Amino acid sequence: MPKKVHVQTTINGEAVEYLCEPRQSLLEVLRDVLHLTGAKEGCNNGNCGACSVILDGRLVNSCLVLGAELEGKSLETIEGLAEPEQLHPIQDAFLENAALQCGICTPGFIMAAKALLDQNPNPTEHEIRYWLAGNLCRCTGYDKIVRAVQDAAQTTS
Amino acid sequence: MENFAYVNAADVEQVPSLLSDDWTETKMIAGGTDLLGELKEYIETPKKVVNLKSIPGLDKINADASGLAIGALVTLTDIAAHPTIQHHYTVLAEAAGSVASPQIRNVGTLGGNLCQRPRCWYYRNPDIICLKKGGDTCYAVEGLNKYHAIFGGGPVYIVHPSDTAPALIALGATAKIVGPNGERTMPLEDFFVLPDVNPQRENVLEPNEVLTEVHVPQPKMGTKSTYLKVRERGSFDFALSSVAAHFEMSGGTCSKANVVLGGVAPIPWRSVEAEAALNGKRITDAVAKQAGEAAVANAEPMTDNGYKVTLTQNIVSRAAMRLA
Amino acid sequence: MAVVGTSTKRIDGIEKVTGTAEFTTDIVLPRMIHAKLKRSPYAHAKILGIDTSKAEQMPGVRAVITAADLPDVRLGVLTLDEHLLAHDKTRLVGEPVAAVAADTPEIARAACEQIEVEYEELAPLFDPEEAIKLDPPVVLHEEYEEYEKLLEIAEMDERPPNLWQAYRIRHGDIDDAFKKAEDEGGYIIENRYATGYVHTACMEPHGAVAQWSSDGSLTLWAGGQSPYIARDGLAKALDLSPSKVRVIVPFVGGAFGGKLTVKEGAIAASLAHKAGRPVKIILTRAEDLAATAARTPFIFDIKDAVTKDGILIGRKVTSILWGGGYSGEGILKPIFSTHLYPGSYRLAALWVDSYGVYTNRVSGGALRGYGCAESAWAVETQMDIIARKCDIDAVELRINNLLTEGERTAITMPAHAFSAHECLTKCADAIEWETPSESLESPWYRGKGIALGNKYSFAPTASSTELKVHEDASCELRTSAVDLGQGAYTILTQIVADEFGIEIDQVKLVTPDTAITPFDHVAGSSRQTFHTGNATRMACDDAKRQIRELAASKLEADPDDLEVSGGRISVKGSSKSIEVEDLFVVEMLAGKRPAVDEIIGKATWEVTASPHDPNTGQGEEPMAYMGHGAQAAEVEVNVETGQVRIRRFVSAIDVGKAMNPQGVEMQNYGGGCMGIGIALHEDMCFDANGEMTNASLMDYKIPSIVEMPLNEYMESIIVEVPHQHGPYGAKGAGEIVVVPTSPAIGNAIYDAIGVRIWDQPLTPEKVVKAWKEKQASGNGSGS
Repeated sequence: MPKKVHVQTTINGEAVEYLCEPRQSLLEVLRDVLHLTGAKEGCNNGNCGACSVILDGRLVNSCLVLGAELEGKSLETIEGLAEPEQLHPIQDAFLENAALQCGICTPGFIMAAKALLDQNPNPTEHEIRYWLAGNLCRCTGYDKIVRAVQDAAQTTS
Repeated sequence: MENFAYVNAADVEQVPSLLSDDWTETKMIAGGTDLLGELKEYIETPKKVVNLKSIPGLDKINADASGLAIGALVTLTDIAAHPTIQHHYTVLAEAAGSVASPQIRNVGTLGGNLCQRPRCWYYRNPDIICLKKGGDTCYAVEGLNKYHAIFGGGPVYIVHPSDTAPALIALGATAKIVGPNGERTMPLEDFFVLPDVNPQRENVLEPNEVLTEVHVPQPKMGTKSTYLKVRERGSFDFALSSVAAHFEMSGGTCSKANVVLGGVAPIPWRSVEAEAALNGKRITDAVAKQAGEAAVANAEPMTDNGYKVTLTQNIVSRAAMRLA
Repeated sequence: MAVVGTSTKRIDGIEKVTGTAEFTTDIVLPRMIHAKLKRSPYAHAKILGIDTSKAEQMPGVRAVITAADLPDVRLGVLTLDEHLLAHDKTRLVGEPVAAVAADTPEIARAACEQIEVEYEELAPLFDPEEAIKLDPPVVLHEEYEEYEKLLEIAEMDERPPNLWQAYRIRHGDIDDAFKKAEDEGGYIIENRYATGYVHTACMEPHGAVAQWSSDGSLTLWAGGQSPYIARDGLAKALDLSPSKVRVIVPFVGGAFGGKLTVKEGAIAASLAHKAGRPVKIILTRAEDLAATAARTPFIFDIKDAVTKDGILIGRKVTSILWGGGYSGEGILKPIFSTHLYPGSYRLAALWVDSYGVYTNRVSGGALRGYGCAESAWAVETQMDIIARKCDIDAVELRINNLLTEGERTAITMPAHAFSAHECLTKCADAIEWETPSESLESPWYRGKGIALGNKYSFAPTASSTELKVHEDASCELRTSAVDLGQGAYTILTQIVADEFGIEIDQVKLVTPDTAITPFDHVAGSSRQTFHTGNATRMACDDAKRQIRELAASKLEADPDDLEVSGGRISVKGSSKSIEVEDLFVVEMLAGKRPAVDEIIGKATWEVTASPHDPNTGQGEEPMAYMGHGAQAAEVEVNVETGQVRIRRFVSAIDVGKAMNPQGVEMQNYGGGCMGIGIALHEDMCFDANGEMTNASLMDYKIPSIVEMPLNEYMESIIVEVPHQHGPYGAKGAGEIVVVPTSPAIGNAIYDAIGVRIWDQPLTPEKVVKAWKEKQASGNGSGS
């Protein structure tokens, strides 16, 4: 049985260390080792985006990243967005615009929106749709998600 | 996934010695978006995985007068966003930007996109040992084959799923490979192998060789290129059929046409027939139409994929008209 | 200010946007272990023996079960034909035959590989038209006659051995209608339609967590549509009294009709019992797509008699629901799908034979619309064909055939709150129906299509709620209604807030837990706003009555002269009032208690029904209510590639009263999106062995954000025609939003390029093929 890997990394601005098997995906590490269950397993194969997190400033599917590969890197998850008494503007925008129904895809979408707005604070509708095209939603039809991102762009810019 | 030992490669020269000469024993991981998918489905169960991302210097794009050198670890996002590639190697930027999803493009590498395994649903089923996996039957032949090959098939009928491969071949790229015997280069076109050469692999790599760089010569003045990809959804999906077109133009005449098809053959498929119909011609609607017809004249559809013939014919014509 | 009718923010939104909402898969219990299922690779096979010894020896394996470990009881919705784990036979690929619980999912999976099952392969049967024969090549359920059946099917001299449902409608004189059409220069329009294999594909796969207590009672957490259906199903499967079973519903990641089964939960419970540890089971995406209930195909043969003025005077339908190995939740689909045959139109003669048959494919479930989206595909395409044949505008034709308020349909449903006309005309206006689509440059063509739908909400049914009032005047609603995303919790909270004149944040919801919350039938059939909404209002009334009675003596007034609002009880027409708090007394050491008793309002809202006679399709009042909606699409079709883009989409639905307008908008957009996926892309593919080849979200293609129209071209219209029995006049929205979608798109494709495609999904290859055939023959295929 291969040795576990010892990883020291930064998650949501805090130093974190953990042990994981080489085969454990980052999604498994987040959920099963670190108990950060905001990232969800929708397909486990990069086809739905429900597990999306931001790694070194880039949106990635945590199910397709190995937990062992986080050494020295910086990760943002949904858990790092809200302050204790205040939601992140993107979270507020999703609520105001009713951009969610069952909510299981929502953390992934919010991270995708953040990754976009961090790079492009004023995206067009086409850009929003292009950069959120890696996240599936079965409930909402996406319309209000787009409006929420536009709204958040206004607030944060 | 089955468990494996995970090793960081320090440099390129070390890689071949870290790899076994048995395909089932070791694997390389770059972005991991294809490899981890195979491991999760238990299609591959290597004992050791060698990380390439720890190797410095393989993630650079260098553009100069001689052309473009792209390290195998450059991500698809970076290729699609590179201004020089967008303006002067447009087909490549368009192809890279059309892959999968932003999440996958952000970690998926050029090397991984070129070396990825097929999407055939018999191949991807861990309970089926098809011909490609060492068994004796290609189930697509008598089975459901609507996504399978209309050119070059036999004895397996997969299609090569890469978007960057047809684009780079149309651009005349060369590939650099490092192995136990050192470095070798070849035209990227020769990197891919037909199933009648080796049904179990899609390219020339030995188990302990690694693709390290792709070089694209500087296009001549007046060259135009584009990538047309037809798929069911506008995101995630692989091509039902795609065409990478790279035309050297002089005046209104196409002096040299490069037409390479994706999603229709086990390798990126250079359509010599379409190129012959375009070389030396002014691209009128009629010429474009002829190029489309020529492109599929020798197509060999299977029971369910005849629509790919129509699709391919039409997008070859469209690509030609777009560049006219 | 009243909140019913406003777009109150979701009360469960903060948990969802912060990722703290706990779904089934997020639940972790101490010493919890993980389950995996061993599944049959064969569509049809006898089980000769199962050897679990190797699996049991593996380190980390805590329990292995087969059918021998379970009570020998057959389960099902109305025809009880299915075992939890296969007994002597498997009847579909993926049917579970054994289960393992182990320390990790990987060990459980490896242990399943070690279970040796000896099968004798049997010839499978996949063709529904073969399956329905009196002498079919294969019989799936040899013991069918012994099964417990809780419904009657139509009488027949001889039941085809694979038939589990037969339903007839006999209304008016159908032969006369055809004769009249022929003799008087009318038209007979006969076509065959088919729908495909579709899956709910919720973003949350199925799963459950099971834990036993030392007193022999079971607690199950499962994201499902009905804790009481789950409770009773578990009790039956495990031979327990229902009082020994507690079902708790965490956040649910979508359901759409697909989370009614307790199969995985019951298996997990059995493993948990054997292992003495809590067990979690979460299906992989591949399992979820391939081995849970699907929307299986319908085949419709429709023959319409139409006068030359475009009046539909007769309709004859034969339909077969292509069922799977077990009858499942789809058992009533051959009946309920028939609501669309008259639809919203007047129909003098209707003659229907509707069947459901077994085949060795995946079993049929209850996906959104419950057969009505499928039948709408057929009938609303027919209406378009009729319109073109008669050279009458498609909207005008529909209007000319509509019922009026108070009439009954050909299947005796009364047309009440009959808003079909308003939905249709508003939808048509919004898509600018009068203006043909712009011409585009080849190879693109634009076209518009429209369709009208309706969707019943079933009966008999009931919902109970309890409403506790606290001393700070806050209210606690206890309900087993489930918010699947559709917004039920928020709507119920709004109702309580308005009934008591308090703020939204003074209302707390106690969510489904059968130990605490009273019976609610199910989150399905678009029923919760209507039924649970009514029960909630009634429970509020009951609580207020109790408050008035308690306050009467303090205020020296008659209870009928008192009003309860905003935390106060006042005497009408005077300034005398007290606070709710004043009804509570202080006890030493125990804080406050109500002076007399706890203030808990209770209510049950029930709708009975007189079901249809299965031989005639006639009955008195078979359903709770009927909802209406119309949708229109403007498509762009590329005839060279077959791609269909939805450029514009309008969904106009009547909700009686929009309890939460943003919530209704969401259903319009979300339902439209699902309907678009079903119409164009979604297709479960099966190989010759009956195995699904595309059980992934890559190959089973639900719409991504780029499939949907841009915001300015996506329109939601809310029509409000109050229903006499709905709370505030409200009706549900959940299913009507997918009913007219496919025919609207199919009709738009015809408008664009003049081709009909008869079977869903309308893939690029079918479009290209139809276009080429049209070019070759020189005329449109099917007009």
